[in-house]
Amino acid sequence: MQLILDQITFSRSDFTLHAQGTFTPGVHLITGRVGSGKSTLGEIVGRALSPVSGTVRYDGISSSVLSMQFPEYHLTTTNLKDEILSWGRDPEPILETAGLIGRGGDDLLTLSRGELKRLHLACLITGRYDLMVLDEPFAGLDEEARYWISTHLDEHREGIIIIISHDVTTLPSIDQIWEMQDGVLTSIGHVSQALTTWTSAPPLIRYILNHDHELSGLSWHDLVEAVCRIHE
Amino acid sequence: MIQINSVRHGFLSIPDLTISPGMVAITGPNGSGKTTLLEMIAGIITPPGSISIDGVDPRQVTVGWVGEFPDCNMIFTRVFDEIASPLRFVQQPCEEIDALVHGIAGLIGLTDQLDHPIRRLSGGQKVLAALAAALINRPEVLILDETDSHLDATTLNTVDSIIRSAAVPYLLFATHRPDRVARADRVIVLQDGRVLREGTPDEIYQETLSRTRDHLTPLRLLRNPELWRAVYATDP
Repeated sequence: MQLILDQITFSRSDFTLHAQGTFTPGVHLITGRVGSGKSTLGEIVGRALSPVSGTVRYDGISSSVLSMQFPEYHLTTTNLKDEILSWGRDPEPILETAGLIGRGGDDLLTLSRGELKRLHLACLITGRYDLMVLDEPFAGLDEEARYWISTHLDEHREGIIIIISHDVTTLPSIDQIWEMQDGVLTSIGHVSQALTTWTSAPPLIRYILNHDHELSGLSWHDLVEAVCRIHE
Repeated sequence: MIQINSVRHGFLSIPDLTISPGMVAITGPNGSGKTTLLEMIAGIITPPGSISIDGVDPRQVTVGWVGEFPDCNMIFTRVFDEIASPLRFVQQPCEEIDALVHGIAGLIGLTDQLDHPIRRLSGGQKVLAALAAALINRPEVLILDETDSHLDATTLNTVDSIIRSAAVPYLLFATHRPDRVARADRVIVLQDGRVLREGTPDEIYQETLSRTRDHLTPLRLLRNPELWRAVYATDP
């Protein structure tokens, strides 16, 4: 199973995106500045947009899902229980996971945006997909929800999971790091080698790398262990 | 001071809360009432009870607001018009508006974008345009409602430096990000519609850690304000 981006381009106004690369099974992190094209790439890979040129090949991928930043975009019903059923999930466990027990009959618009995102992600990541694209899955979520998502992704590492995020404080174990810069996708490499060459790493990662040479991964467990070593 | 007394709205209940001038982080679980509290302070919601900002009703105070997805709240097509809108709505003279828009656009770095449509801005530029519109009439209170959720560290540093130079008396921001909480003067933690605790970032962190140990304790080590001060001391 692999996802191949073969010289794809996409243009909108004066912005042009170029991407080339192969995504193999595992968890991939795509980072980059706001406006660098991360979400556009996610929408192309998630089949919501078509590239202007080049091809996206889904070798051996028979099911895929895209989680967009706006949880509102995913709504198809009016109350929580119906929304969960629309994903083909059992309402009670999902309501419990999302911290929304007893609210199955509530109107979806009575939820805060964070609660809506928790509900959406609880429905989405409990499914089994060959390709899962998660655009800023941690944005707007509290500690408990972040913990659950990260733990769930670590325990169910199936297929290709692409996480688009600039927030590196609650990541699951990452296999490959990619970066979007001014519309161009670059592979930083497998995490074990990439950490030492990742010059544009977020501030927390740069700090840890400057003080702890044993950092071997980007999961929050790896970061906690490194911080504990630094402060020993 | 922002003084809140005997306020109830839906599930949010605040018997007594005083907020001093400065940077105040509002944090807490999803659905705990962060946005509702900010809407009350901004005068968008007027619940029973008493809310005053330096002794004045919130509806008579100039408040700037930037949301999580600022472009969703923009009503004009052109960058200039969006930034100018708060002044146009109160019928300021055109020459004055023109000077103020160019002044703040220069400060924020959007001068070259003023005649462009909003949709042509990058995500970070849209946040900066919303910030310019929020700051242009010199608010006494600036509210950022999870504006940091989707921003990278570089864009956030730009936002921080703009806010510092604007010297707004009260900056209130809802956030889940530990690096943002660490930069606040005070932190208000909400839970289930109530103020769970209030204090400095270090006090809040120590109190959180000292509670019953649970599955989130290791993750909370990454919320240590001391860690984030060290991160930004070496990587400003």
